[in-house]
This record gives sequence, C-alpha cells and structure tokens, in this order.
Amino acid sequence: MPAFANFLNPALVWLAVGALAPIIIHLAARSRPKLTPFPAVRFIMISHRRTATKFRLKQLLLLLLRIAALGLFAFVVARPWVEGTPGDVRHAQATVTAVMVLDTSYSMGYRQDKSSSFEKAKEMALAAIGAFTVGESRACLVLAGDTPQPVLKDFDHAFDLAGLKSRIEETPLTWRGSDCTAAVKEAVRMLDGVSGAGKSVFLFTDLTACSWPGPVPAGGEDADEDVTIYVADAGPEEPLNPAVLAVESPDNALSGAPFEVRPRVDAVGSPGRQVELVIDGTVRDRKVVGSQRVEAVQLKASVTGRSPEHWGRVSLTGEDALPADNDRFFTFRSAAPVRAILVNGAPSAVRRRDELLYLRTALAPKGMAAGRLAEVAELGPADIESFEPRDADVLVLCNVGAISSAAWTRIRHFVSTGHGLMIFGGDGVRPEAYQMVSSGDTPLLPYAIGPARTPAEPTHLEPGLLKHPVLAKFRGGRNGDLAGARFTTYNRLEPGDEGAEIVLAYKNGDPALVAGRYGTGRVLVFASSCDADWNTLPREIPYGILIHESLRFLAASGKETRDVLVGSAPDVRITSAESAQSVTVARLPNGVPLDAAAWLDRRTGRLNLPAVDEPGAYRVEVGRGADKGAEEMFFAVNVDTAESDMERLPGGDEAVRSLLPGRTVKIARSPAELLDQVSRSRSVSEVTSHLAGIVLAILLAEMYLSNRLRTRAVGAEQAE
Amino acid sequence: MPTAEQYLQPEVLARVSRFDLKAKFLIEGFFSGLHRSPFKGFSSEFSDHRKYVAGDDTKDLDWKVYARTNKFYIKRFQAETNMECHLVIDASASMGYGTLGLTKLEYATYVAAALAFLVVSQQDTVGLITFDDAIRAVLRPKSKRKHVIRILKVLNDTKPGKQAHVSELLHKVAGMIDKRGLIVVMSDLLDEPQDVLDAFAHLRYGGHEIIAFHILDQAEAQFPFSSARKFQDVESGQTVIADAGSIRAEYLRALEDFVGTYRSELYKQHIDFFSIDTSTSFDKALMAYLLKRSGR
Repeated sequence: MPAFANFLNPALVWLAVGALAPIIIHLAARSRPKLTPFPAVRFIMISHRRTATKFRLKQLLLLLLRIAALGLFAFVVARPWVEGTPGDVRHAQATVTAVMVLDTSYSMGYRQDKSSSFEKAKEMALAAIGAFTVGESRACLVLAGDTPQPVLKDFDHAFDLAGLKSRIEETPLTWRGSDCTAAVKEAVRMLDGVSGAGKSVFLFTDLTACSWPGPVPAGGEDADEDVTIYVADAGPEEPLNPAVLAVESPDNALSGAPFEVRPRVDAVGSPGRQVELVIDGTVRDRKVVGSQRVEAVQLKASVTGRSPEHWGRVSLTGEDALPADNDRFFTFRSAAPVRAILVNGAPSAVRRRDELLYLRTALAPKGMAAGRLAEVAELGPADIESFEPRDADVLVLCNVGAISSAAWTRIRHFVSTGHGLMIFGGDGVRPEAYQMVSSGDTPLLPYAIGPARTPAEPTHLEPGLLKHPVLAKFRGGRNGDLAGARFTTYNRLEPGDEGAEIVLAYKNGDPALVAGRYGTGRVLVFASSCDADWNTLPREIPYGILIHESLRFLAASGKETRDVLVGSAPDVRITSAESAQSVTVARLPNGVPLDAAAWLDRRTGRLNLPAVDEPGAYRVEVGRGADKGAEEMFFAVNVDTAESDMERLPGGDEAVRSLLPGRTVKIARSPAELLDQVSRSRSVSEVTSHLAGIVLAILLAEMYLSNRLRTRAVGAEQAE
Repeated sequence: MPTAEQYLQPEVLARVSRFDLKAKFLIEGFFSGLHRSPFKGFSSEFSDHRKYVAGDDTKDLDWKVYARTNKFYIKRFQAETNMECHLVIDASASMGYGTLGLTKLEYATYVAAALAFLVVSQQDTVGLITFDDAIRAVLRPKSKRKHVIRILKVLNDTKPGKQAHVSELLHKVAGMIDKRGLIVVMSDLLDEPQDVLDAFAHLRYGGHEIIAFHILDQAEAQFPFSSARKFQDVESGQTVIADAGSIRAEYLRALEDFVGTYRSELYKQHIDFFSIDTSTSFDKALMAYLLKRSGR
C-alpha cells in the first residue's frame, strides 16, 4: 500500500493545515469589484457567458494547485516514507537511528545447513548495517541474554558503523537463555529521547517461544511510538532438539549403596541414542532412549571411597544440532551411615511392647550388616540435655512425653546447626510439652502437635503425587503402597510455621507427615506412632523405606545443593575456611585452576564466587597445609533448559506482531529479505525528493497558469 | 502652439476651449493637410475656360478646345450647390462615454462642426438633427455661414441625453427628410443591429446617400481593463461582474462580430460605414465625406 505510513518528522505534518491558506486568503482578500460604467455591456455579457465557466475552472485549478503545493510541502518537510517496490537493494542506503539487538542465547547455536542460527543472525546484522548511510546513521548494540546487556549505548558516539560490525563479529554465543521482550523493551527505552531519522530496533533472534515471556508494552503517552522494529528470524523452521532436561540425583548417597539418577530426556527425533551417566568422570551406566518428547530414564550407580564429595553428568550421546543442552551436571555427597539417636519415650522390658521395636528393625534389617544403613544410639528423654551433637546426624523422638527446656534448647541448637530432628507421636506425647517449640517467632516444629485423635473409622494415608524427596522411592508404585496401612489413632497437627509443608496426609485431610526447616536443619513430624500401637504401617513394607529416606533427608540438612544455572553464583561454604591457605576453582575435567582465595570470606566460610557463564562441574580445592591435606568440593553449573525448547512462536508473523503491539513490525528471514525491508526505508529520502519534485511541478504549473492569467491582465492594464 | 495639422488629433483639439475655434482649427488643419493630398478639383463641375499660363497643371488642359483652336485652355470647374447634407447626431447617454478626455458625443460634434464648415464652403446646404430617446434638435439645411454658426451653437449645447433606440430614431429621421441628399449619421449604433440595419434601409429607401460613422470610445474598442469589475451599462443601468482580463478576448471578438455585421450589411445597401474611435484623427472622418462627395 503506497500510503504515507510514517513520517520522520510527524509533528510537521500539522503544517499541512497551511494548505488552507489559499482558501483563507481567497476569502479574506476577496474585494468588492470596482464599479465601472460602460456603454458596451452587451458585449461583456456575451463574453462573460462564453468564458465564465472556463474562467472559474481555471481559478479553481489554480486554487487547487496552490492548496496541493502547500499541503505537499508540509509532507515534504515531514519527510514521509512509504513501502515502495523492492528495488536494487545492493545499493540501498537508509539513514537510521537504530539499536541492534542480538540474541546470544545458546539456542542460537542450533546448526542447520552447516551454519548456526547465531552465524546467520550475525550475517543478517552485518548486511543490515551495510545498508546504513555512513556518517548519518547511528546504531547501538544490545545483547539479548536472560537480561538485556547494552554494550554500545551512547548514541553520541554511535556513528562508527565499522566498529559496530567488528563488535558484532566478535560477540560470542553464551550459555544463557534469552528474554527478547526485555531486550526490545530496553532498546526502545534507549531510543526514547533520542532525536534522529529512521528510529529502528533490529532484533536478530531465532523466534523461539521461550524467549518471549510476554508482549513488549506499547509504552505510555510520552513513549516514542515512532520506532520501527525489524525482526530478523535466524532460527530453523522445524527444529528438533533432543536434550537432557533435568536430572534427579540424590543429595546424599550412601557410600557403597546403589543409588538412582533419573534424568528426563527430550529424545524427540533421535531414536536409538544413548543416555549415559558419568560419576566422578567415569561412565557408570547407559540407557538407550526412544523418541518420546519427554522420557524419564533410570540410571544406577554407586560410590565408594573416602571422598564425601562427588560430581556427575548425564549426557545424551551422538550428533546433535544443538549440543549445548546435551549434558547435565550435578553434585552429591556420599556419606557414612546416618548417625541417628533414638529417644525412646515408652521403653518396655517386653521387646514386642517396646516403642522402638519396629524402628530398630527398620534401621537394621535382617540380612544387612549392622550399621550399614544407620549407626543407631538410644537415649532416654532425660539424657537429651547431655547428648553430644557431634555424635549424631539425626535426633529421633519417639513417643516422648515431657522434654525440659534445657533439652529443647539443646535440640534447637542441634537442628539449627544443620542436623535433623524427627518426632513420632504416641500415647505418651503431651501436647503442652511441645507447645513451647511450636509457637513463637521461630518455632522449631513446623506444625504444633495436638492431642490424640481416633477417627470413627481407621484411616489411610493419601500418597498424592509423591513430590517430596522423602517419598521419591515410592514413585511409580515402587517399594510398596503407602496407602495400605491403617491408622486408628494419631496426634492432630495444627498449622504453625509458614514454611512448613505437608509431606503426607490422611485420606480425611489431616496431616500425617510434615516437614519444616529450622536454621540450616530440617524437622519431620510424623503424627502417629513409630510402633504398631496406632497404625499398621510398621508392619508394612513401605515403613522401612520411609524411615530410611526420612533419616537420609534429615541427615542432609545443612548441605545445600550447590548446583546452579549459568549466570548464577553457586553457594559454596567451606568448613575449614579459617585454616584455608589456598582456594582454587577449576572446571572439570581439565580446566586450569583459578585462584579464588580472594573471594573467600573466612568469617562466614562463604566463597563469594562470581556468576559462572560456562556449564560444567567445577572443583573447589581448599589447601589447609601439608599436615591437614586438602578439602575438596564440587559445584555444578547447567544451562537453563527452558531455552532448550526450540518450539517457535505459534502463529507466525502475526504472533510476532502481537508481541510488539502498537509498532511497525517488519519480519525478515534472510539477509536479502532484511535488506529489502531496510531498503524500503531508503524511501525516506526518495519519497521526500519525489514529493519535492511533485511540489516543484505543481508550483511550475501554478506559475504558468497564474502567469497566463496575469499576462492577460497586465496586457490589458498596459492598454488601459 | 500646435500647428494646424495637429488640431486633427482629438487630444490636441480637446485643449481648445471654444467650440467655434475647435471647428475652425479642425478645418484649417484638414485643409492644410490636403495640400499634400491628391484631392484637387473635388466636388466641382465644369464652369468655363481660361488661357493656359505657365505652371498650370497640364491635366486640366481641354484637349478638345486645343484640337479645334490649336490653343491651350484650362478647364475651370463650378461647385455644385444643390446638395443637401444632413448631419444626424446620436446624443444618447451611451454617447456621453469617454476615457481620453473626450466623449464620443464630443468627438461627433467636432466632426459635425467641421463637416458643416466643409459643406457650406462647398456651397452645399447643411442641416442638423440630434436625438436621444427622441428627436432633440432639428436645423433645416441651409448654405449661409450664419446657419453654420447656429449649427455650431446647437452642437455646443448638445449634451448626452437618455437611453436611445437608434433604430427607432433613424426611422423618424427617414420620415423627416424629403429631398434626396447626403445623410451623415454619427452614432455608436448600440442597438439591435438588425433593427438599425432596417432603419438604414429605410433611409436608403428615400434615395439618400448615407455615410455612417460608428463612433466608439477607445476603451470600448480596446477593452483595456483588468481584474474583476462590476460593469454598469450607462444607459440601462444593468450590471455584470466579470474578470475583465479573462473576457477581453471574447469581448473583442464579440465587438468585431458586431462591427463586421454592420460593415457587411451596410455595404450591401451601398452605405459607407466607418468605424472609428475617439483616438482616431479627425481628418479620416472628413476625408470620408469628401470621398463620398467627390463620387457624386
């Protein structure tokens, strides 16, 4: 549509009102004709009849020419541009004030036809810059990562197009995701308040849906709406991107015991490829995956040895258009058996009546060497005040009725320093004894323990989605059915701490197992008894698994995961910070160690690492002198798999335009098409010059017509 | 002081205040010009002979007498005295229009006065009829010089009158003149041409020789106006607003058609038609009379 879609100086369009000037002058200057007595009026009347129509037409034409000349003059100074017919784009030159936005997310590394989307985007960017008029056009540069990063942002020094080209050529692909919404918003913001011709944003991206969390706001009243947004689509049309989306790994693996690593793999379009599990640099397991969109895989491994710190990697092997998301790193710890102290609130000389009968059995099952799963010690309630926290990982209170304040104080300290506390209900539990630790500003217990409740009918557990780590081993129907046990009585748990969560509930809705945090430690409260007095669970298969997982969950207290996404800083705490003589960080397997001692806060033990931009497993080595050896730990950095979803914006060009409401959007999919789009902006000058030519022609016509009328009049005046 | 010939120019003659002097200067200027013209022996008939003397024009030799007597005699001519000349002046309102310091009526009266002198000097009789919407003055033809004075006085007193229908008045004039003679009509003829032509035919029917002077002001002839004007008819008061510059060409074309109609139709009636404007030298008008007189 060859319409004046845009003006470089839209405010000057108002000058078109000046086109009314000839009419106003005509009306204002219209004078009463001079009365002239004349004898031969008969000839005038004859002449008037013959010429009146023709004369009026000439006058009207003259008026129209003047109106057109003035109106078009306003359009000329407003500098309109139209979408003209694509011409010889090789010589197209456009004067722009532009912000180039380059998507540097790792999805741009998708390779198709021997070149990556990033390379194609750069090619398009360089082509577009080549179409800018040197010395008149200005362009800045914003890198569209997970947050927009303006690298050239001063428009006063943005005339160096060659420098801009070099900067784009040197820009590396990152391992981060992208937020095109934020990047375009930032680019438009940069253009706000900048005066110049052809305000434009050039976005070079692969148009994946995940890069657009929402539309770019149209802007307020003061926003500059006169910004054309060129979207250069450098992405593949139908991408297939197998990837390792996530990995479920144990926080704490039992040394020598097998554990599972459960990656979720997007194996679409890649049947027969393998997923392999690497632990500490050694391949431990492999599985062939199908071609499902999301496929859960079970890989098994075990660790031995003296080192408690380990790292792992799940990799999708084989060729891939986008290999950046084929590896997933994780870290975990292996530990000696959990050291649990069981506090027996209802001991009995009769073995089968003892409160800890089933718990002891669960922690030391037949056929397994004692201490393999847990090193168990038992205390009476009165001994809590004197137990040594260093000797235990988890404290388990089993049907304990009364606990002294001193004991609670010790328990609080124990938990807050990164240990675990598990409480079982029972007929000996007195709710008031737990009141002091389930209320206040920082309650120890996530839920307040209430009086015993015996429903009219025995109830059962409602396993639900088994989301909590404690229930991980029950997922998929493995290790028995938690819902099989009957519960006749339980202590009511009243909501307390906001951070608490219900791990398990009864079918009647009452909480059965709740979890909470206190300091760096964890707390679990089981509403019923740990023996078979109030429920049949201790006699069921899931009991042992639930106890084991609960204790391992609690024992992992204070050992937070150090796995982070690219662009984040891992939370690394060094226990031997005070004695640390050197700290180095190296990317595995062969990274050069980097001296990180300056980042160590010896008071808190925190290693204040900067954000990490490259995925992988990293080793932190703390030197403590020759006599004490070195402390070793790992952290893992992974790409954000949201970026792995290469699904393109649904709806094509219209979807892109809907994300950029209220703006002129031009979409190109090749350098030639982008050049063509840019070349149309060349019409900024061409249309202006053409329009100026039309105005000139109109003025000449006006002069000719006016002069012809005037000549006749002057001739007549001379005769007069 | 202007020479005698310069008084033939209307703008020069207009500077003379006295009407009788205007006529006198006009005639003097006219005859002064005639010395260099081929008009000699005009308006005269053979009277007698005299002997040839050196310096006489040989063309006036009477070769028949020479054949009989073998002597050279020059033919002498006698002026004709029995021609009645009627000066008919249109004194309607439109004749009062003038843009050169001279109205059409004034121009006509000057020509008429000069003609009166000229006619009487030829020993013919001259009369005068003026009209506007009716006959205003009638002076029967006489050849006395006092009569010329009377004619001059009437002409001097003639002022533009009312709207005239030239055709009607010419019909009346035709009814007033019995004896065949020369009728000189001076008018702008701003009437329906066919009616006027009918009136001339009426005059011609009486056996009269007719000279029609169509007198226009220079502004009428050239239409030198520009810009939009509101033209008002000096007789009817009718107005029309027009852009003068744009209609000029059409105006001149219409005027040409108007004049052309008279010229061609009056020619068919053997009426001499002279269209002149107020910037035209007077001798052209007088010469027209003499040409007509010499052809009788």
